Amino acid sequence: MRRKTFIRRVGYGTGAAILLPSIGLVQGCTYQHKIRKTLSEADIPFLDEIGETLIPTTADSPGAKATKIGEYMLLMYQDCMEQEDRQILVTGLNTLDSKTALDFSKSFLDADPADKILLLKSIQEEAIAYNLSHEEKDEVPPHYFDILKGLTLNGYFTSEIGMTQARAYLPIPGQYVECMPYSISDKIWAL
Amino acid sequence: MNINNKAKEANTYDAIVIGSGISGGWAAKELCENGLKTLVLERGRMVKHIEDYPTAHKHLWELKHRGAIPHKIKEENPVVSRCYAFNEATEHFFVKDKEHPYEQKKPFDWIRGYQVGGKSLLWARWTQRWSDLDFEANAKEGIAIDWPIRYKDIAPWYSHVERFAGISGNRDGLSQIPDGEFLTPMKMNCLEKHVKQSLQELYRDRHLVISRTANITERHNNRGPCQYRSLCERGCPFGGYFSSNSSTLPAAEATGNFTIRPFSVVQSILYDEDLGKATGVRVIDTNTKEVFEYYAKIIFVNAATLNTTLLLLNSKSNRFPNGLGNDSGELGHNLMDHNYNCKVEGEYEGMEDQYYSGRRPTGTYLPRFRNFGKDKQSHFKRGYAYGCGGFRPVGIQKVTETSIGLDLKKDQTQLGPWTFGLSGMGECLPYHDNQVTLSKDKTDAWGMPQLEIDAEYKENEKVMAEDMIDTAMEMLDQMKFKNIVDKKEMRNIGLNIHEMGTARMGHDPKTSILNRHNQVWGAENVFVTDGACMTSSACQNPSLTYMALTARAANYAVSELKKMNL
Repeated sequence: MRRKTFIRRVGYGTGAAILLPSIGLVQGCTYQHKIRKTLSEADIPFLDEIGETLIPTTADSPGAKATKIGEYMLLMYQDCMEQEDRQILVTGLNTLDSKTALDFSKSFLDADPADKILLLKSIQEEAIAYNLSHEEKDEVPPHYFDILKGLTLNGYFTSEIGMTQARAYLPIPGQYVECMPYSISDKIWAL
Repeated sequence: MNINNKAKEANTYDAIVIGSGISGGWAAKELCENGLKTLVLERGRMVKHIEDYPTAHKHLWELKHRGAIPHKIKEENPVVSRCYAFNEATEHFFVKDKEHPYEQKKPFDWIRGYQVGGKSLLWARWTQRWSDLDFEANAKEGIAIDWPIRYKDIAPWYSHVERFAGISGNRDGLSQIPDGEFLTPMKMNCLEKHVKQSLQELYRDRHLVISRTANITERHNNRGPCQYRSLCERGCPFGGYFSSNSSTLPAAEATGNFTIRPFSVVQSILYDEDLGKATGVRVIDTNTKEVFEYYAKIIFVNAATLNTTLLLLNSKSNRFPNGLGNDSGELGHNLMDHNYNCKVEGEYEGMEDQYYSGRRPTGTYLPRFRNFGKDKQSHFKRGYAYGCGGFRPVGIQKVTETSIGLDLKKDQTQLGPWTFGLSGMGECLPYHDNQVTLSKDKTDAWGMPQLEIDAEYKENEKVMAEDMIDTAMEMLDQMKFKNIVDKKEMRNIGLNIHEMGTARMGHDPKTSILNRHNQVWGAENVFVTDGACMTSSACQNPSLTYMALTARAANYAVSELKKMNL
């Protein structure tokens, strides 16, 4: 809550993203995190990197970045997400950005791959704890990490790569085979 | 005078059909095939089979939002946005709330499709027959009024429409859903076969069957077969399912007796008091707002339940000051939908090495067993069926808890445990005070009064829905399913898109709007054969019954015309 208020305050009267004064930044830091009021095209590389960390390239299929996941997330943000979720996402990305700066003195883009995973895993722990603590309530606003994860999974598995390489796609099945053998190494059907 | 006569002649047909959806298409086909020059009036635009299905071949990744509806459209159109079939690939076949407003006294989701073909492009295609369990229920229980027909009256017409439409299904020998003229049934998957057997062992009176469905499993009337894409609502380029566009309208057109006029909203039915019958209709061109009149010996009203009722209410004359055929005062009353507020799922342990291929555009069906046979319920009347399905979802872990990176990708590319879902489909009783009326001050863009809808589920529906949920959970538990969850399905009345009953059939003009042949009392050359005519709702999906009633009424109209009785 304090964070939101702070953003609102510094955001007044300005149109552009604002650079925070160096509160809490380690000395000698070369990266200053951004405070966004909205998502824009400038965030696509950041979103691509988050997506790729969540769904990486493997031997059998490219990862989320190859599906232009950042562009997809931005489009969903602009056209399809509800206002409340949009705000949670923007605030969350600012948090993620400042955490990266604090922990690694680098942007998320420039952080080591292992650090990216560590960082996102720690945020996932946060999200799990958040969900657990709200389990009994209906209509809890989502944690921003779950929004990012949801966008990545949706975007990836509805992309051509996700549907035809990570999963198997039959555009025109022609028949229904009601029982067929499956082993864990088999590809599963795309939607 | 001479010019007027010529103009009148040019606007005169043997028959007029109002609406081109699932029942209007049947009226057109039957009337045209019997040699009647027939004019079909459709308020929406033309949709030609195949050529006007712009998204039919699009892959998900070719849709700008991958199928999602933009937030702005949702916000402007909250009602239609709640419909399961409304998405980026189908939205052009749905009416936007904003463009066609109506008044809700209580929440009522009115889902509409204004185009040639109407909602027959969008329907769920499940086609269980009714039985005398349904036709006799009102009379036996003293609820509302008796149906003026029984199963034997409609059975040959079920066969007639099934043969042409192409209904895949199995002859299961169950009296509550009589067998029909079926093409090869679609198949049950491994879990569904297992559930069928388990239910039989546990309950004896609960028979899981493959839903009878208007998707064709073999080539039929120059269409199909179904390609198992399960993208039906986009319009099928293979003609894999029955719609007016793929089936009845082309058949009507082939006779040479068929004329269709899109963009034509019917303002009222013209009634001649001296003749004691209707002479034609007044039509507003939706583009130019010009008003025309068309004339015919018989008129079929198939505008879909609520618009049919709106039109009858708006057709006022000295003889019928409260709407055509409305001596009883029942016009607009007794609105029903079904109650689908039950969705339960459970996981099955086993058969992990089994899967399926193809996207079957139907499910399995557990026909009614409540208040049927030896089953007697004291807390509610009538019963329900379940629409069911076995499937394997993606992923073993809960997605929010799956670790990211390689683990997440792996989990999302493998199968979770077999899952079986049951959606309850409950009968709703006809209540006089579930009703529609015309707004006194609000009109639409064409000057037609807006409809005010005042309807709700009542005690019987709510108690029945509780039983649907409890019984579904109990069955899954008895069959040793795990992680059984009540998905808390909550839909407004209307959203099951089975609105019906507002111009009901009956024995007596004092209590009904239509007689046993769907003729309007006092205007016997007007026939209403869409959902408006229903006297009760049963729990089966209703479209097959609308089609059969339409074919029956159309053939009756032709024979009465020949006898000079109309």
